[in-house]
Amino acid sequence: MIIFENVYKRFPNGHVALENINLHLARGEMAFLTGHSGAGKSTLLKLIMLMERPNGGQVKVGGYRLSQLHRKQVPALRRSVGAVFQDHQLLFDRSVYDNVAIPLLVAGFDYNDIGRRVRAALDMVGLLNYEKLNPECLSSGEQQRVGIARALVGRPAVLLADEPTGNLDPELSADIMQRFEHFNQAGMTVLIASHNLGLVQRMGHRVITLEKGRLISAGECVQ
Amino acid sequence: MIIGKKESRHARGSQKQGRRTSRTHAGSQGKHKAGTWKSFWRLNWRMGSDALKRLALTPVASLMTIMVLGVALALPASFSVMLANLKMAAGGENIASARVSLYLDSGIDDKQALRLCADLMRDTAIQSAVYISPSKGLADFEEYSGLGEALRLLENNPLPGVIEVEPKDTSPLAIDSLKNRLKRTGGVVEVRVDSAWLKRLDAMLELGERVLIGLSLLICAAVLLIIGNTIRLLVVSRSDEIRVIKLVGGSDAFVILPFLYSGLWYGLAGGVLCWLIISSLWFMVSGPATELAVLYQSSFRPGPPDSTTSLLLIGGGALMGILGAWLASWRQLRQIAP
Repeated sequence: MIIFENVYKRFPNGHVALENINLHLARGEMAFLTGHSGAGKSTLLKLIMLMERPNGGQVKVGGYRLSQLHRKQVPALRRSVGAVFQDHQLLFDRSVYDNVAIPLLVAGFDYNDIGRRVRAALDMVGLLNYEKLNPECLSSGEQQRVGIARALVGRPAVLLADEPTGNLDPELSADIMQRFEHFNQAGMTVLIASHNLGLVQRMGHRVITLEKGRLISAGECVQ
Repeated sequence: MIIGKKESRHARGSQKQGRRTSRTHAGSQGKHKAGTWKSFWRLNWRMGSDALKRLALTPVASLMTIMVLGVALALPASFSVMLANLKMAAGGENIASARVSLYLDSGIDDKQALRLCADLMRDTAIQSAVYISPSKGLADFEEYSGLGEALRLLENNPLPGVIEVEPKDTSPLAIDSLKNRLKRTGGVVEVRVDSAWLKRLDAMLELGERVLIGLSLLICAAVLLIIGNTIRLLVVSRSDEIRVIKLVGGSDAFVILPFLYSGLWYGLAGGVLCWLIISSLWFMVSGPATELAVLYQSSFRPGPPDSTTSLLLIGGGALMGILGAWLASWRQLRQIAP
């Protein structure tokens, strides 16, 4: 589902973020990406979302070869990949419902379908009663769940999460991780970047370790 | 995980499978796009109404922009309406300077003059021909000059018979051509036309038209800049939202849509305000202009902007709004990356 072949990423300031990365994540697999700050976890996720482009090598996601992807095809790729961010990336000038509905609006879904899907996604993360509220009124954990609902609502084939439990207490972190596990059981390919090694090891999934932009361990491929 | 040949084959297989799944996924999305047109219109309706609501959120700033646009558009528009009215007045039915006077030989009696007049009426270049006999001419002269007593001292009527010809085409070239032709008519001693005045008027109207084109281009550029700058600021203030929309798969076309609607509303409101200004100006000047026309014995009456002009003003404003928004935001939106 996600393939990295000799991927190399260097930023304009000369910093090498990723070096010779070879990685294969199978369809329906769940894996954790770990490493210290600056190891290249976020850069790797950004390459999958085409928020960054590699300087060398090949990244393939689903049916897309990202290095050959035309600018006009990028939105279609991003619609097939759901992403959850540590800073939630929510819009505070609109309601929880409207935030979750954005991926469906941009994909041109029918309005009735949007309503049904948004409520289903909010129900999945336990926020059905919060749809009319502004995300500002919610706690950090609840905001994170809004972000998860937004990532899920388009039923993407791949779910990426960058430090989804970064600001959460252990109880909430475990709850969020359990939800990711449920999505994976439903057939979704899940890749989570986290530096919380304890939590990652408790989950018992494949662990990919990065250090200073190099792949130290690709873990065991579990299907 | 290091990928060897076997894994690479597996990866290729997985990619093909991925492509199939991706297509299936896209296909399932396609099914949900039932009633695409309905969704399209609903999306546009929503974008349009959202853009309008955003304008209403900052009423003072929006009103100021609309007023600047309205006044800017009103400058060339009012000049254009004035020029159109001036042209109508110049080409009007009762414009004395567009008449050609044919002074007849003293040996031509009324019967012959009327026959000549009838012949001239058959000329395709002539709108009308009116014979003024020497006695009618003298009576008119007495009435307008106030020299009645002095004229009675004359032994004979010194005035010749005159045929006043109104040409169909009042352009200086056409009048010169007609004048040369009428000179050769039997019984006509002299042909007079104030062609210099006509040429000056024509040159002034031509100059006015050129000035109008230049002014219109300048004002159009100013309107595009005003709208462009307003939309550019809107894009800057909503850059976070644009990033999020792009992050979840929003295309450039989707992202630009609300800004095009903002441009449309600004341009449309500016066009309507411009129409109101022009109509108010017409209301203000129509009375005095009519009085002036009456004093010159002209049947010309200044008119308000007609439906075509009104549509052009409002529609043109809206189009310029969209164009200004597109020019300002297209590059800027492409540069905002998630």
